[in-house]
Formats: sequence, C-alpha cells, structure tokens
Amino acid sequence: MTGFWFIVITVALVLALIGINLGRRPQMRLGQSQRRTTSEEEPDFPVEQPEMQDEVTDISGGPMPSVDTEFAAELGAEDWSALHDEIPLPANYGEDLVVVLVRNPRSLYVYWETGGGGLAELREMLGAEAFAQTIPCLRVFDLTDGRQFTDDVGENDDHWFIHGLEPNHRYIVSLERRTQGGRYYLLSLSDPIITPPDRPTAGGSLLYQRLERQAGGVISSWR
Amino acid sequence: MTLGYTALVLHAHLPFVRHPDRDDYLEERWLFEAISECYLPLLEGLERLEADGVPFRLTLSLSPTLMAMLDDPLLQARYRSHLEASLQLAQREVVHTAGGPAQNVARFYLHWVESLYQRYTQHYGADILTAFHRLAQAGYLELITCAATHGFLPAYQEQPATVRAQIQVAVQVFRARFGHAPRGFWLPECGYFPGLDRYLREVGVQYCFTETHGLTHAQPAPPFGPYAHAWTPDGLAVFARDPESSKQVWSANEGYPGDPAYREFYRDIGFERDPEHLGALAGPNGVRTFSGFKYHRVTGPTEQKGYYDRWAAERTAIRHAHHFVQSRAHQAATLRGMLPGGPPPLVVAPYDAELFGHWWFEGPFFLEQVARAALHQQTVRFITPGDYLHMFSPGQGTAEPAYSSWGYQGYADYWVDGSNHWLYRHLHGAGRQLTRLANRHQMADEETRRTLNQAARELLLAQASDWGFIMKTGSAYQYAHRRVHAHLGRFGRLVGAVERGEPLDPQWLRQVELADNIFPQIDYRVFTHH
Repeated sequence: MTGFWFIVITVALVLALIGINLGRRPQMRLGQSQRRTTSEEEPDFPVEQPEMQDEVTDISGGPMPSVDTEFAAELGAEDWSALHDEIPLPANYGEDLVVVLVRNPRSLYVYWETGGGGLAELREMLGAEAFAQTIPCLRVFDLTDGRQFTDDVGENDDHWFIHGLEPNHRYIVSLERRTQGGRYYLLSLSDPIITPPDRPTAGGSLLYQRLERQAGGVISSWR
Repeated sequence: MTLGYTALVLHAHLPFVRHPDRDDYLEERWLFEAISECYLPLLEGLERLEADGVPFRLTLSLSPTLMAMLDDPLLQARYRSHLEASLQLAQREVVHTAGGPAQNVARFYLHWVESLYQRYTQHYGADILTAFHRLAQAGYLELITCAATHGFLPAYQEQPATVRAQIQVAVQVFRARFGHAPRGFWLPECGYFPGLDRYLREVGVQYCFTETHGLTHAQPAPPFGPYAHAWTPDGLAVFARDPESSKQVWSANEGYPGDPAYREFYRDIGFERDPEHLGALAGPNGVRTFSGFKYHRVTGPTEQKGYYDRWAAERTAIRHAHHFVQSRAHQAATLRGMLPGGPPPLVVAPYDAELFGHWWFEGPFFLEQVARAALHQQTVRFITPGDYLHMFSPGQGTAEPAYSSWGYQGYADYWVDGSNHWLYRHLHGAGRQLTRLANRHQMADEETRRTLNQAARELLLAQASDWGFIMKTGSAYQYAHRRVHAHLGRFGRLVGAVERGEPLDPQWLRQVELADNIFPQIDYRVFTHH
C-alpha cells in the first residue's frame, strides 16, 4: 500500500511539475502579460511561427546626468517628429556569412547573408546556365564524431532551424550550392559552436544524484 | 548552530520605456506599477527591519535601464502625477463604495496610496536609488547590476564587442551612481555560455548566477552541485539557482502566491468602473486597463471571488514566511549531512523583484517576515553571495559552467524562436557595423563622436532581451516590434551619416538624443574589437 501511494504521489508530482513549468520563471512579467496595459493592439499581420519548431564611497544621490531632460519635457508633441520617422531596416549588411545560434542541446538556429559578392563570383565562375542547375544547401558538420548531413534550402530562404542534433557536440555549418552530380561549392562557413550538455556531467555531483534519488527523480523531471 | 546559508536574490529590471513625446503610453505604467507595488514596499519593509534592529541580508540586482528610469526627472514627475491620480481615485472609491462590502478594501487603498505618496515625495524626495544605497550601507542590501540593456548574452557569443559593451557600460553606470564597482553581476535571463566569465573578470566582477544546470552540467562536475559556488577558469565565482526554493515562490499552483487569502491579480476596477470615475487612470482612447485597485482575493478556482482582507493576507504571509525559513533550515540540515568535508551549503534563491508586489501583492511583506522568522532559529542564516565568498572562498573548486538560462527548458528556445529570430540578423549586423566604425574612428571629431555615441545607445536599446521575450509571448508584440525597428532604424541613419561623411539634420539628432537619453556618459569605443 505504501508503495502504491508513493507511486501515486510521485506521478502526481511529476505531472504537476511538468504542467506548471516548475521552478521556471513564469512566462509573465510586469506589464507584459497584460495586453491591456500596452499602448497598441496586437499585430494585424501574421506572426511567423517556428519552422519545426571596492569600498563604498560617499555619494550625494541625485539623478544621473541626463541629456537636458527639462528641455525635453517642455517640448510639445509636434516637436518630436523624429520619433515618428519610419526608417526601413537594411535587407542585408553587405556580407557573406553564416551565423549559428544555440537554441537547446538538440537544436540550432542558422541565418545567412549573401550580400558580399560571393554568390555573384560563383555565378560568374560557373556561367549562368550551370549556376542555375545548382541548389543552395546547408551542410552541417559534426566535428565531434565526424558525421555530416545536408539540408537543401530554398533560393529565398535566409534562415533555418536545425533539429535532432547531439548534445555537447561541436558543429560547424556551411552555406553551399550543390550540383545534381553531388559537387559542392562553398559560399560561407560559420564559426564552430557547441551544443549544451543535456544532463548532469557523468561522475558528477554525488550530492545532487542522491537528492535526485530521494526526490524520486522529480528534480530533473521538469527539464 | 548554523548548518547552512540562504541567499535571497532579487533581480529588479524593466526595459527602457521612457516616451517623452506623449504622457499616455501605457508601457510607462509598467514602471509606475513596479514603483508602487514593488520598490517602495520593499524599501518600507527593509526600513522597518532596520528600525526594529532585525538583521537581514538581501541581494538586489538593479538593471541599468531601471536605474536610468528611476533617476529620470521626466519619469519622476510623471510617476508623481500617477500617484496623484491614484490618490484622487482612492478618495472617489471610498465614497463610491460607502455602505457596501467593498468599503474596507477601498479604505485600505486610500491609506496605502497616501502612504506611497508621502514616502515617495517627502521621505525619499523621488530618489529611490539613494534609498536602496543607504540600506546597502546599513548592511541590509548587497547591490549588484546586470547587462546594460538586459541583452541575452548567449545570443552574442560570436560578438565579443557586444558582450563587452553590455557588461562594461553596466559597470560604468553602476560605478557612477553608487561610487564603487558591483561585486556581483546578474546575467540577463541567467544566460551563460562558456567563455562569458572572462568578460566579467575584465571589469572586476567577482560572481554571477546561473540556472541550476549551469553547475550540475559543468565540466568537470562540481561535487556539491548547486549548493556552493564553483570557480571558472578565469576566476569568476558562479552560484546556481536552487530548484526547491524557486518552486515554493514561483509556482502559480502550489507556490505561496496562489493562496486563497492573497490579492487576486486579474480583478481590477479598471475594467469595471466608468472612465470618468477612473479619471487619469483610465486608459487612453477608451482602452480598458489596470488601475492598480484590486478588491478581491484569490479565493479559489472560481469566478465568485471574495473581497480582499489585508489583515488575513498578512497573517497568511507570516505563516508562509515561517514555512519558508523552516524549509531552508531543513534543507540546510539535510544538505550539511550529505556534504561531508564540503563547505556549508548555500541555497541560492533568485527571483524577479517585480514578482514581489506586482504579481504577488503581499510579496514585500513576506520578505520582511522571512527576516523576522529567521530570528527564531539558528540553523540557517540569510546572507549574500558576497558574504559567502568572504567566508568560504574555495567553494568547490574549478569548473566551466554549462550553457544555460532560466527560460523555458533551460536554454535559448524562448529568445531564438520563430517569432523573434529575425532580430539577430539585424542586431548582429549593426554590432559589426559599429565595431568597424569604432575601430576606424578612435580619435573622432566632436560631431562624429556625438553621432556614434547615439548610435551605441540605439543599438544597446535594441538589444534588450525583453523585446524577443515579448514577441515570443505574443503580448505587446507590436510595441516590441516597433521599439526594435525604431532603435535599429535610428542606428542605421546615424552610422550611415558617419560612413558617408554627411551631416545629420541637427533637429533630428537633437530629438533622438533627448528621447533615447540613456547612458549619457557612454563612449562608443566600448564597441571596439580588441
């Protein structure tokens, strides 16, 4: 009977912890959970979704120096025209690059730019007709175990979410164009990046492992 | 006998929401609500402890954006107006509820707002930061800071100049305001990546915090997990969050704030009364919004909420404070028994400061009662990480903490997501642009210096982790989107002028400087790549 209740309580705890996002900061902050405390309504355009998903010295207090705040306060709304300028953002920053960001131990985010001239050089080198036969792709190199794989991407794509990776592995990602015959032309190469480990380090904290056992695995169940 | 220690850490932060062009931006109310519900009550509780001779140690992280807003005369004046509007509404409410069941709550609010007004305008003279600093000098607080505009630093892992700028500007601001460098540093969103330690050590920071697995997944594994600090290869002490104490406060269902006696957050007379009655607290253009006057208690999982009873809520907070201290004492005793030969365990309990007061209205009172409850036992002592470093400097040796954050799933999913990924292309591109210009213009003329300094402000403001967070949650998406676009757009115009050697419209530059006036002492060369 005791074992039964232990299991019931443990399962209930685990479910509760998963359900309530135990210990994580609530997905709410001051003002931000309150749609009605913002000045503007929600966007009327669709929001893109994930693809796949010293010692103390004496101070007198007083405000930090600010740039003519009193003057700013005297300005009327019509004097703030600069704040209402809608300045477009650049389409690219004139570079050829691939940048990789960590999302979690098994997922990376990649974006790339081809505004630095490398693509035009390749087109010139191959000739327009041969170039048109190539397709853009990302090659993902797992430097930890020597494996690699290729994801074809669209001509208009500029970012990609990569899933199914290995925790604690070093990766490098290249933007290339490949021919039907399997030849690859490198455009840009990212810096190496390491996915985070997804579990306590082997041979690690005996204390933490003992606490885990005492808690029936609850501590790590919420991650 | 003291068997272990607890470090309560509050991280106080709001994004820079100063809008001088209009006084009806609801986003500025984020600041006003936080001052009323969080910062002033926290100060009041600590001052009561001081007056009663009750010792306590609390760590308070003040973000540079929050510090700038608390010191800004325009926002100070607007907060005072907000308080006056609250006072007028409280007076109207006492009349409006006369003879009804809500009158006691209305009277509580009148007393509460009168007290806030008196404390803010007279006791502190609108200078909240100096009040916190005085409490630090009195031994109640250890003040630390975080990145300049709360940039999520792991997203800039490949941009050393940006990481350096976020850290160095923050430390400069803290030093200018409080007269000394911060010993500790709150990493925005607890975001750590291997190698971050060297940037913090460059400016003399001694310690920071990570999520639990920052240490439990570290290499090599620290033997005592999150219950003592580990030293990084570059000599930074890293403390990790304790999950148990977090759960007791954070959890919406089983945490303290969900108790039926506490104030219900979502029921607010701002959605019930006529706009004329609400006066200046009504939303602009007929928008319904929170007024801060909430008359009900959590009650339970029902729409039929009972009226708030402050006395009952305070009794509950006292009970919860005793439970919290007993839990920490029990935890200390258990851990001490499991740590033969190790340092006394330290339980690090970090929270967003705004949780205490805004979301959990009785939170600041709870903290005061934790201090009072701690007096009745010896098993656990409340200290700061800085104190712990003094006493138990070796900690548990050297380790490289793991990439981690306190966001969903413990990594970067929230900040690098389908809703906000496009930010990084621009934030990184702009960062590289500014670094190139900073390298090129080490000895700039006055006009170039002024332009690049403003460009640095705009870029930093665009880097706030809040914008990506808001985009992900979907609340206030358009505001966040517009803010990032505005700052990056201004940045582009500024650096474009420098690159082309063309003068800017002086009126435009002046207005932008006046509006985005954060970090008046910034030097764009902080973006130089060494």
